[in-house]
Amino acid sequence: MSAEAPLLAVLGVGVSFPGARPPVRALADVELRLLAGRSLGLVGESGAGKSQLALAIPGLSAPGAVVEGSIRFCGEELINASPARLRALRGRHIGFIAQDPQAALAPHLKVGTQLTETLRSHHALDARAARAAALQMLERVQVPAPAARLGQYPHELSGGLRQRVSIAIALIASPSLLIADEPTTALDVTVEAGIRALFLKLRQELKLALVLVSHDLAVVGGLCDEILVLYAGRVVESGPAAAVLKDPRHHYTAALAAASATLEAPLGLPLATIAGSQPAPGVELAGCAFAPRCPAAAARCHAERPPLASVAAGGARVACHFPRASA
Amino acid sequence: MRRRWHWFERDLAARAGLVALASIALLALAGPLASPWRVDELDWARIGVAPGLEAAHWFGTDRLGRDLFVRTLAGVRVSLAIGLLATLVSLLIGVAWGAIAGYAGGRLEGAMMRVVDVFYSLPYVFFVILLTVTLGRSPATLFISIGAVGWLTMARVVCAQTESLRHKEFIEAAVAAGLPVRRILVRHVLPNLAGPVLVYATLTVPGVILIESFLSFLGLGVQEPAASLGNLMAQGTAEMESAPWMLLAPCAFLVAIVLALGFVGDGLRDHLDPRER
Repeated sequence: MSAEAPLLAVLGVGVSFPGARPPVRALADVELRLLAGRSLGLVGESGAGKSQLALAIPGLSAPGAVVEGSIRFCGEELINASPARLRALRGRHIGFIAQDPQAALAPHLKVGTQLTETLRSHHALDARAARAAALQMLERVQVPAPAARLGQYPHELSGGLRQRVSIAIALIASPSLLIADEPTTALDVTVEAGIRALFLKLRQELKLALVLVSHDLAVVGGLCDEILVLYAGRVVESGPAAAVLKDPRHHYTAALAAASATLEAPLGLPLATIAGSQPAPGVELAGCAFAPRCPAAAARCHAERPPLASVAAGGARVACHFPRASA
Repeated sequence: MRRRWHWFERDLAARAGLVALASIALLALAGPLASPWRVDELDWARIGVAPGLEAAHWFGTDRLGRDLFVRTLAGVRVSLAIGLLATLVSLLIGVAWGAIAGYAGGRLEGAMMRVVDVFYSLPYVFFVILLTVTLGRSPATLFISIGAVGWLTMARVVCAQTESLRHKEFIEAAVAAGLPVRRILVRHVLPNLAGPVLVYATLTVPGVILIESFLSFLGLGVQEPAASLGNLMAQGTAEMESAPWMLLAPCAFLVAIVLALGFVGDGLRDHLDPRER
């Protein structure tokens, strides 16, 4: 690994909801580093804590959440940063695309207004310059007839276009980090492919660092340099995306990969599934959280939680007592 | 815009209510011009005459010989003005207070809404008497005292509505985009409050008119020789047995205004409430 200072460094981050009944620990001991211009995929099933992590970075955790550890952006500590400072960072330096971008556009405001108000909240620009920038950004996210779109309301746009508009809003103040929480889940497959291509293009053009949350390994594999697999709020595997996907060392990652639908899968066979479910929120297991569902679990797995340890050169790390053999 | 008014063409009651309101307002403004009498002019020759065409006393005269047609319409003007202005006052205070409390949430919301609760629990008439005594009797005092209490319910309605809006995704997206709080409140939250606020406002106007009538009836509101529907009715009840028209004319207008506003309010509520659409 290079000694370059990371754009985003997350260390020992936990998110818990002590006020909930029972108290819930959504995330524990998460660690990640992201260099400028690189991309990281957060993978895991629903409830694994992916979104909690994505929200915690720009300080958007729900009220009542207790965030601990350290989140450094450009060297600046974000945990316990003042609300004013966080507001100044959001949009300006950290763009965020919510889970359902369809619902994330204000229904009563024109597309142009939503773009320019974000831009003008962060940069001193007059209305005309902001409008020109909005037009340029719509072109960049490949919205057809951008000038006409500025005067339209969100309900007049198709799902794919609305998604492109919310990407444009997230990027218009030129942030250096974009956090996208399942940006393609609400879209159909052909539109999804277009949005994925757009993300690739934007990353290259804007030198944008990307944190992409997804439950789809294929999406992450196509877009991300690094991958971080979460299970029940803990990192179970991390490393370069190609290596992790091709040769998963954690049994959970392997099972997740086997459960992905691909065109190469033999016809007629049912898709592989992972039997069982994650521990219920609020349940804290002494050992590995995946042990109850793991094909390779032994007595030690139930008793002792495996630490995240390096398994190979190139930075791949896995939290398992009995990692799968390298292929 | 066409679509927005389409419901109104189908809602007969709301349309009738609006037409009635417009007619009453027009009559109140233009009607007195058609009469030769003024509000405080005494007709010594005809004291306490019944409605008729004689000497243009269309609604009759009161015990001092003042023309009731002119006085009733002047009362309508005062009552409508108080109704609309006091509603506007309560709208401004209530929306601002409720939206800020609901959006802030947490302790600030608790503190702000407890203030509302305390005001709510004060005996209303006592409060108005206090204000009238300290500020002096004038229409302005009336606006202030009615508006000062009318905003409480509005604040509660708006606060609850804002709280539920705050968790809508487009508000969270606005927060994630780093928009200033004031902008989020004014441009993202307020427009979405328009439905309930508008409806509640139309329901407040008749309420305020009734309160004005009640206060004038008690002698706390509009004072002689100025007329309001309230003090006209107060005089009318005193003469109910000998000169029933003194009570009937202002009553008829009050009932018509309250009913018409009620119809318009119902129509708006039906149209704007998502559950009814």
